[in-house]
Amino acid sequence: MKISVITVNFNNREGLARTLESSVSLRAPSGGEKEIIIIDGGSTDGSVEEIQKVEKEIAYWCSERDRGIFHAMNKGIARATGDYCIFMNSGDTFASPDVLEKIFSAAFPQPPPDVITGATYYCDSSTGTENLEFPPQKISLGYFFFGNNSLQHQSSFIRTKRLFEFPYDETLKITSDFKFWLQCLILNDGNYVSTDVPVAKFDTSGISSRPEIQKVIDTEIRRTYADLNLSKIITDYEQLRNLKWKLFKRVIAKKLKETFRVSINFR
Amino acid sequence: MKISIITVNFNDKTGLEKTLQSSIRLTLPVGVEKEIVVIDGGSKDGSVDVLKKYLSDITYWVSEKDRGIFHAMNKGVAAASGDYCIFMNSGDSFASEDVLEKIFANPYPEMLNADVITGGTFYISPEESTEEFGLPPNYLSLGFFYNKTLQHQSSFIKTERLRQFPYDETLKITADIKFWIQCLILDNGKYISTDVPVAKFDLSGVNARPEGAEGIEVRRIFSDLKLDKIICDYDLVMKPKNFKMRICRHFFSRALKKFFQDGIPK
Repeated sequence: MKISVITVNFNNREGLARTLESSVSLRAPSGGEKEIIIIDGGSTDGSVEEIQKVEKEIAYWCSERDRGIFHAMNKGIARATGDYCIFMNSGDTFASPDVLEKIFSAAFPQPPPDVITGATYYCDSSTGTENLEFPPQKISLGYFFFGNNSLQHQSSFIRTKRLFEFPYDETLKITSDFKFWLQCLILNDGNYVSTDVPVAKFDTSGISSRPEIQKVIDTEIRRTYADLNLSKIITDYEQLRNLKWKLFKRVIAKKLKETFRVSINFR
Repeated sequence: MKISIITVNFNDKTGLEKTLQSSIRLTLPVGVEKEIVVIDGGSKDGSVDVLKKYLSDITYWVSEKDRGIFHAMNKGVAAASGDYCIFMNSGDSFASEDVLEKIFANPYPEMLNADVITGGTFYISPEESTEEFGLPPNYLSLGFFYNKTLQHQSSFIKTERLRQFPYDETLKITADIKFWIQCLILDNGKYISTDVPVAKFDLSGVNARPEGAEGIEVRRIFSDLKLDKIICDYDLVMKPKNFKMRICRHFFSRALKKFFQDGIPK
């Protein structure tokens, strides 16, 4: 079993240094290998020096201008030779050096799933807090619709084959991973497995929750539903969300929370 | 504009005669032609003699053993040369002579690109001599097909689409539901509903089905079309497993019925 760790970076030298350290000390799974791939967008802040420091541990790296984060991720996939890929972008780190050993052990589920997602530490470096959150045990269109969620790709190992089948849509700025999850796991009956093993530490201090961002996200999601011909199915979900009977919605929300382990927002 | 009327028959010569007479009597608006296609499954009850009576009005017919009703319908599509097809199987008939005039007389631009045009259906139960009238939904979504279907006797379907999604012959009862979902939901086909009564549907042939057989086939359709991770959400709402949900569902069932089965008002 070979795992490709793909890191995308642009002018985040300090974050890249942390990520590289964590990826280098990550141990390969027993009987398996790992490879590290770095796609740098032509950084001018010294990021390239960080890469050169650990050059012999890197299977492939490049530093050139690209068309954005999802283009960079697609470039990384093109260079990956592993069975599974994980995107650990600069600033994020592995929870511990033995993540691969824990997940790709003898107990690895058969047949091999398309996606296996573990738990994520959400760290806010400004306040110093750290929250461990678990992935949903199972997923459905309802999980993606009501949670307005995406699976955490920092904690997800994705079968490389599937990434070639459904490359990230570069015309979307923020939610291309959401579209990938829909294509791979919902529309093509992909096999999803969750595990409680903590995989990644995700730094939330960089995330912007400005309303303009939320607006872009909403527009992109609506476009994705249309692109994937889901309009005549999403209308049912929208109807459910617009139901005016609070009691009914509360009971459904509770049931969905039990099933998916996330809180549902009936906005 | 040409309409192909496809009739599938097996050992029902009275029904066949009724259907053929009704198809022949259909009047045509300007610019519209019709053709009648009959697919007989090798009947031995005199159906072929009935066919020969109306030979001059039938464009194409065949009488040979086939693999069942949906195989026969696919054969009909292969033989059809019209832009739209309607399956008026033996026993069913058109609601009135002017159905084509009412629906195709004023083809407004929207309608000409429609993949499916439906109208109302009279449901006739000869044993109980009852007659009920039903209209199709204004707007379709996947939830509609969870429990219901569109009546093919009252639907004009673009021939191109029937060729794109041929009826699945491995399904005995619900291959038409699979077609509706493939064409209208998953491929976002254009659907137009009208209030025009199109067909009289004779229910006496329907009761022969085993109980629950439809439900089993429909679950298989969802699975074939890779809808499992979507249908599980519908199951959560429609078939709740815990007590509280059942109470809520019962209390709000009227509203839920409206939500899932009547579609969204325009």
